[in-house]
Amino acid sequence: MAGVLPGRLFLIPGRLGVVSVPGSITSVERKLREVPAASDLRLVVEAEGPRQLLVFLSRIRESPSWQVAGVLGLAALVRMVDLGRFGYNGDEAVYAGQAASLAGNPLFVNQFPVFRAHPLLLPVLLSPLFKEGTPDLRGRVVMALFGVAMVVGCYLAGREIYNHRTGRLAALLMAVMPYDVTISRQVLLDGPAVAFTVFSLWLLARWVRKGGMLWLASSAALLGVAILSKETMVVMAGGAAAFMLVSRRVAHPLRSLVIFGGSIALVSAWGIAALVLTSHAATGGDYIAWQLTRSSNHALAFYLTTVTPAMGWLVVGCAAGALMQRRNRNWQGLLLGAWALAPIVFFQLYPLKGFSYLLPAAPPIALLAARFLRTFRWGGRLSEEGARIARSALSTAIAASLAIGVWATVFSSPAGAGMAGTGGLPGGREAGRWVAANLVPGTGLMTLGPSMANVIEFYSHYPAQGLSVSTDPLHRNPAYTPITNPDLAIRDGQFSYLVWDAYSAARSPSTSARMSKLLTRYHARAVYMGREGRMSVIVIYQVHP
Amino acid sequence: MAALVLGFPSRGLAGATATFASGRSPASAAGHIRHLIVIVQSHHSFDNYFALYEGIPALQSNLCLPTATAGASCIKPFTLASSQSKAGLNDSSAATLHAIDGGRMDGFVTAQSNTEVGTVAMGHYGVQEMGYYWSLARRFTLFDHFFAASPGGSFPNRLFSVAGQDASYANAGAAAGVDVPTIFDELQAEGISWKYYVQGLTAPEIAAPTGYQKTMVPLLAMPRVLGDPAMAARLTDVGQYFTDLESGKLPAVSYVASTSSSEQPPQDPSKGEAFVRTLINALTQSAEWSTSAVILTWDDAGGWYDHVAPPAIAGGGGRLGLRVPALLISPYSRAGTVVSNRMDTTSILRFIEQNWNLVPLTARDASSTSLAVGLDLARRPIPPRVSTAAPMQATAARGPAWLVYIFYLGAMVVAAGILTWTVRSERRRGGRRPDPKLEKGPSAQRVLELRK
Repeated sequence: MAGVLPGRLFLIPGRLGVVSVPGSITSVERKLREVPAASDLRLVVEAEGPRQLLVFLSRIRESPSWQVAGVLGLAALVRMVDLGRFGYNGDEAVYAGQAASLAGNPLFVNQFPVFRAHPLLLPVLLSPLFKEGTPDLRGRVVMALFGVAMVVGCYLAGREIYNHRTGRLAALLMAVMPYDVTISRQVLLDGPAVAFTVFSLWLLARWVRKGGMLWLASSAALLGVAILSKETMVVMAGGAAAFMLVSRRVAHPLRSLVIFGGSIALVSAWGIAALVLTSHAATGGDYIAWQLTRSSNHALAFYLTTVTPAMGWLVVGCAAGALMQRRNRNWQGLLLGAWALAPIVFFQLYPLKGFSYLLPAAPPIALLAARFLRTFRWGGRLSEEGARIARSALSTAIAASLAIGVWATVFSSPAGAGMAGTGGLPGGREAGRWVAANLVPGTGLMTLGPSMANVIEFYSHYPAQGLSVSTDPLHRNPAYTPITNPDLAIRDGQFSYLVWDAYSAARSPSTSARMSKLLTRYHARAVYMGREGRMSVIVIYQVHP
Repeated sequence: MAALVLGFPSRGLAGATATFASGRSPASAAGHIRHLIVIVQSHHSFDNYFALYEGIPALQSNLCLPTATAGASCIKPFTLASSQSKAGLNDSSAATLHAIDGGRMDGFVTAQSNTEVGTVAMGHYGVQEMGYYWSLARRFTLFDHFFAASPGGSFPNRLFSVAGQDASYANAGAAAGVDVPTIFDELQAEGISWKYYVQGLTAPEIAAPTGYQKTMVPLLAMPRVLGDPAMAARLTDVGQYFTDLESGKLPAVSYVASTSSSEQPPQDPSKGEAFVRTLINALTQSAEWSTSAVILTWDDAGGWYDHVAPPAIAGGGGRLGLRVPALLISPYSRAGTVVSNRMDTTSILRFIEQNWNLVPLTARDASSTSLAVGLDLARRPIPPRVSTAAPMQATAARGPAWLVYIFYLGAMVVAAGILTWTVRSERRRGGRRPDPKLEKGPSAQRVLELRK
């Protein structure tokens, strides 16, 4: 579409547009709002005299690429700054250790099995970075880039489903959402997995808008890649299937489902084939059996009380508001609702709960919240201009509150370190390095739990085992070996050092009490004390039988 | 450095065997070795523990020992099953000499009370039970011609280890008490520190030791020692060993005697291995490691089969006892080397006397080969390393990495191929035509409205 709009404003599709601005910038903006947003319209504002700076700013403000670049720059900033402040937590140590083991890093091959509980796409992608030494920061940089990619995907999906402005606002909300920032700053499977699901959502929306089964196959292929990152992403296929079956927009739901499912299988079957042909199918089966039979590890309100604040109460509220709006009772609302609710419902019902598990719901929630913030009419009490200002103010306030939340949870306090998936582990890296520097190679360490054992093993390359690992094979991760008889193990010299940490002790006071008895019984002497502020968070004791 | 006399140079590889000259300078070892720890376990022959070790020539395949039952088939050496009962064997002087049979080494089965027990004597342990001791042999020095000083059992051999003689000990038992000069008298007189660490020894037991304790610790069978407060104070529980290591007070010469972890059948060897591991791990984690040596050996063969005939004692006096395992663990060990010099229990005394300039106690220790042949002082010290009993984590299942890469990158290529196909197809058809089969909802104009 090319044309001349009232008031000397020229828009030329795909080419340079020139605007002569005799009046105020606001008047130009008003005109611009009358133009349907279209991705292939590019705009350049030219001005004269002392207004040049103002007009330049206006150019940035109105240029989609500049705006998106700004959001992405902000996303990268909050994900990259001070990334190495704390060392890896237990989960990060496992995934990075798998990558190093897969790469043949001699420091890791005998300590970290490649085949554990999850598919191996992330270790495969990270392995070139872990070929030698004990790097940790570079793994997190890759994760931060996946986090930025997630924001890009959110923008593209928003632009496809609604328009550029909604996509931009959703991307901004994702960029500074503490939940997403926290997870994107760790070497976890969720980051890349959800990045692929967001692009899958984008392509699914494109299929709905444009038609052509290849778009559907592409969406499914990316979801297949997401499943190869983390197997629980298969839940998103359920969300997509529900949309196809319910939406009136889809003409041939069954045929679409077959194509969608087939494409997912075409990609994700490679991971199963790898497991079978490397003779580790039984290993995978053990993990699945263990996962399915695990008892619940958190209360029913876990997600409500931990994830919702991290996403932002206002963001979640706006998303819920969007779903209730009559104007959103269309395929767009249905698609985003299904995409958000699939993981929420599944993981709420699933006994095993984890902080990062609801990350796939974050992009559709951000998109719905952005939609709400872009279209809310304040009950008709405000004029068009007043409502616009109010929406802008509310959007800014929410984004600012999220940014403050990022600062509070990610940069200013290690308070979240006690919960799996909420950040690095203060003091863990330093304790591991102390072990490597001061203890004789081969020295065995007993930790309170397997998470700290993983951290110690990652940074020191010394063998470590968790006291809390159950001796019942039905109640432990198959990757871990239990300490059947801690007394005997100490007396036999298997463990010369015991590691107590405040995080594991808070999670399992009974295990902490057991270790206290061992410390007393075997004449423990503290040889290392790691502090975070004034608090001792990790203490290493030497014991004698 | 000891000159090479026979065989080939030590290459630091498991399986290399060599014999080394014993005429080394005592002063050279004294500068390096300031602590000697003597650990004596019980009742196992060399073949019983090391017949299957990779650095040792295999037993003859046609080896088969006769039984006492006429017409019964002979008994071949075999690997003991973990679940198999290992009854205590007769290891008396008479039984041992019967087994040796004048050097024919064919009386091990018939020396026992019956064929069933005699059959057990032909058994040997495999890597499952011997993992730790074999790992020590791979890292340090293994002596494969180290004989018990006497064919007479635990007490005389333990007496040899501290006195260079068995005091004409017959079968009266340690309870009868002995009084001979020991290496500790010399050490005490020279002001050289020493201690005898005994597993589970309490203060009342020092005053009134049990018969078993006297067998395992010859000093407890010596009223003269127990009556001397200065000497008796050096007999202490093994827990003190760890305290001394930690506080940097490890004496120059330490003897360690296990009681409940002695490995004496029917006890499982793993219990003794764990005890020894604890002692050595503690040493490797201490500052004393760099100047220490540990001799780990067994008092006698315990009735178990060994195929090497013990040589005659120089100057008359019969034969030595059967071969027993002996490992020298030190930063200066000949790493992974099997040293084949002929040695016996008194070689321990010879080393102490040479290293601390003491006068030999008897002609036996004066003429024996010092443990120093197992050291190479010119080599780069072996770094300390703690050994654990079992893998700490589940075995690291790596699998073929290239298969993992192929499959996961294959999946990415398939996904990328579908995307590329989609984009090209879209370009070919102009990129804008909606699928009429899908278009039953809002019109394009309505979509534009929604995009506002």
